[in-house]
Amino acid sequence: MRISQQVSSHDERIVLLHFEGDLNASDCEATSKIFQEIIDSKKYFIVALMENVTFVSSPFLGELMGCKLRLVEKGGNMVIVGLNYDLRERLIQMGADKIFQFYPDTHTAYNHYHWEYTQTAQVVTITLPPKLQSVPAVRRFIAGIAKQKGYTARDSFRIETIVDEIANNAIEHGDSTQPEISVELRIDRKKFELLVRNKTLMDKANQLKYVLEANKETAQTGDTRGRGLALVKLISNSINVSIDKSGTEVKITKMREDS
Amino acid sequence: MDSQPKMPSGYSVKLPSDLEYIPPLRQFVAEIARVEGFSKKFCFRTEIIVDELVTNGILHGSQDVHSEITLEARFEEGTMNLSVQDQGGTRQNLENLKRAVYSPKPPSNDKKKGRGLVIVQMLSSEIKIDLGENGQTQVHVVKTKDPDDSQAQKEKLLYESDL
Repeated sequence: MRISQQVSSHDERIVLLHFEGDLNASDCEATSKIFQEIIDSKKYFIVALMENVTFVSSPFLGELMGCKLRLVEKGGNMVIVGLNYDLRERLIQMGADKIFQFYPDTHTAYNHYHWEYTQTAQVVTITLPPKLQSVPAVRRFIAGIAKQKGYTARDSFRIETIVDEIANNAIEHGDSTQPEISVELRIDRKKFELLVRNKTLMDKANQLKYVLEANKETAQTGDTRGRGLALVKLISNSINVSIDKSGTEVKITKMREDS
Repeated sequence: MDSQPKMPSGYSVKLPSDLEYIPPLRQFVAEIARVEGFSKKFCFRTEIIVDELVTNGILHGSQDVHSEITLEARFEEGTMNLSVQDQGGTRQNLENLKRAVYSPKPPSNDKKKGRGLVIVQMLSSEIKIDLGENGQTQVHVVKTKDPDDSQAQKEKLLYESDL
């Protein structure tokens, strides 16, 4: 085994550990010492680079698990990057995927680190022509992102419902000459924000504001339409509408249920 | 049904340079191509193209964690213009990209990588690279309807009736 370490140029709280060759039981002691030195230097995030590793013995895997436990106790983590297909399959058979996250490259591992530990929101902006037929694709795209980022199926379904309603409203009640509508998603570990911007005729925009602020539904008994915003209010945490001459912006915030 | 005269439709998506976004993104682009009247086969091929171009952009272009990828798709009668822009990678990455686009050659059997852009070439009608003023790399792909896409409009109507 060969092992070398460097502090990440991306973030000095992260240490990159390059492993090479066979990781045998006889290498545990030396590795344990390196891990302890890293922890003593108050660096609690380790990216284990294993592109050039050919074998991982079960005692060595146990050593990695022990180190991960010590890091987690300090609020840190260790992830594994660059495993080849065969080794990855073997580690999965040994149950290591229940303990460690495996990433194909350091870039993805850094993304994970930012998502988990820096609470930075990720932003996705979509512009689309005002076509109602495009809305299903948009709502599924955004719900798919929520799922990919670890939101539950129930949260994702509710997000899909919110996107569908707000995007449909923006198109259906927007200015018929508007060239596009804009949908912006800000997502972090704890909450999801949706901003939909469009051009709206002022009387329709004021009607929308009235519905939201007066906490009333537009639907009268027997009407088949007009319950969408009431539903969105039920399943989200806040709705804000701002209207000016440049257009209408609806902002919805939904907290993650299991956060 | 859409009774408006057929106008070009433009979509754009700006997203973080993160591989986790690729599966929903490629499905999104395939789905909007379907909405725009292209066949299932065309859309499946588009999904492969998007997957490859965006993966390349993330791994070799927008390498900073805070950087972004921009995808634009414009649909006109029978043609899709797709472009993927990243923040620009190293000179070596750019040389590799140019070589792969302008003089494609499948890698030898023992190579694990390097087939993606060859496949994109096969599935598209035209591909070119533009460099932005600030070093961004933009890959443009033009894909026209396949000759056997005559059923697409009929499929589109069926698809819309399912929504």
